Amino acid sequence: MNTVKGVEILLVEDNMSDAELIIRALRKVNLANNLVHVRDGAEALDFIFGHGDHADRNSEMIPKVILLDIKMPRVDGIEVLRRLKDNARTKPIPVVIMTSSKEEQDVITSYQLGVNSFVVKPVDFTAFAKAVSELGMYWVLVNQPPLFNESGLATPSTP
Amino acid sequence: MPAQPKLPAASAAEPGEDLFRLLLDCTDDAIAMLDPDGRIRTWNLGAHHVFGYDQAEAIGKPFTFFLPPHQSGNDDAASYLSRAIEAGKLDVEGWQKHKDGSAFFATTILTPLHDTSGALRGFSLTARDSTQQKKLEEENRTLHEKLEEKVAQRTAELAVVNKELEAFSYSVSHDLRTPLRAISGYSVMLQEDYASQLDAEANRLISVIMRNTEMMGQLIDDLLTFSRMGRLQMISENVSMERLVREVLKELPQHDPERYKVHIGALSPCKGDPGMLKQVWVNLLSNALKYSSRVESPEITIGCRENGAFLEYAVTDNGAGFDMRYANKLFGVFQRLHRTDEFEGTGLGLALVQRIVSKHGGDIRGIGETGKGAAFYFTIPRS
Repeated sequence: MNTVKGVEILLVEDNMSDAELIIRALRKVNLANNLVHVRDGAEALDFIFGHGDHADRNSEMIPKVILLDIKMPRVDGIEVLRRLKDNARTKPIPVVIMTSSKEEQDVITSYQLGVNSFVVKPVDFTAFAKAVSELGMYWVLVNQPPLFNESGLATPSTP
Repeated sequence: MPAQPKLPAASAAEPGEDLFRLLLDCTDDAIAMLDPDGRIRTWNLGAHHVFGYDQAEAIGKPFTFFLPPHQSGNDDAASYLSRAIEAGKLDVEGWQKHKDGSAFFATTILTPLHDTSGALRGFSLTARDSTQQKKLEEENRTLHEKLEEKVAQRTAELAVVNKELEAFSYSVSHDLRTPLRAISGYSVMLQEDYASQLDAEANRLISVIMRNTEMMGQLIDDLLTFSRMGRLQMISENVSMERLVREVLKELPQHDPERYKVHIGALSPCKGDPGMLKQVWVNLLSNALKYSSRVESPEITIGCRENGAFLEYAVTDNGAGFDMRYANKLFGVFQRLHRTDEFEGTGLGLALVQRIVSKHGGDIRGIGETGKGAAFYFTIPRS
């Protein structure tokens, strides 16, 4: 059994202020040590699938959770979600959409694509920090991550 | 009436036939009698006018000479006559040529005539020049088509505007919030990381920044709700207003049942959009709670009565009230009757309430007295 090592949280966020606020909130609950921040959807896909700048990365290493913004230049969050959930190997990775707007269409599309959680970033920082740290604790510490083997999600072994 | 021409008898006169002939010439319509083979036997003055051929020219001609040319293969005389006999009457319409070469639209009816024993005596052919009517009809149709075209075009334009508006509000909700969160977030970071180096005044300044970002966040939310409400498709179903009110009171965080005395009378159910009506109660009740929050024993009364074709719902409080001189500003967008340091607010709540109520076909009014309280009454049509 390959347990998840290295990256625990992949943060996909184009806005540097939001990213700093999120990382700060996670650091307070000790969850920022194994966090990787990528700045748009294209880089997120490169990181996950081990392409481009991340070609030397072992893409077998899968994060425990992906925090994904929607509105980003080049490749947006919805497209990243679609690509992740389309691929047998990356499909089981929990994805949390974090966005500024609760646009109904985004919520519907995200759930249709199989998002694990949809969170609207509050404007108020205190509320935002609370949401982020609770989210991080749940997905990194409480949730039992899917088990992976080389071909993707592990299947129960039959005796 | 046209001058009465003298007509020679075309066949053996029967009693009263002269009179009948005179009558025939009093009409503008063409009336002709045909023999059983379809040849013209009589020809009135109207027929002369309609077709341009006089009696001498017409008599003896096959009636098909006076029918519009048809493209269909089976329009020979025998087929027309047998169809007329079969159906008791045959209508033929179309453009045909006047003797002078001009075109006119003719409406022609061919009717078989039988004698008392049931034997076929011949046919009558009546024809009318309906060119005027036809032209009007065609003009009408063209106008109608143009109108339809225009409507379709306008609808398409509106759809584009609507799409733009949606994109705009999406942008507003996303792009305005993000910098606001940064302002609020970095203020908190400043306060948390440098609290020891900042004096009381510096800390006060930071909290003013934070309070204002909160207010602007609220403003953005309210604006979006307000603009969405105008575009939302309204649904209509039976709504239990009593259940809505209790639900809203339970959900409003500012409602402290220990402190506020809330009386809920019998509230009749109505027909409307449950989501929108809930927003009405949220806004009216949170106003009542807000403006009575400073009095010693705040009381809120919610009631309902029948008022003609309407149900009238009322929310009354014993709070700060307002000056009736400014009542006309109650429902205006961004209009407020209290300063923000007295009572916070965005000036959109009652504007939204009015928009929803009028979408339902009802009306809203407010009555108040400074320092005594306020009452808001809104009506919803009884189904």
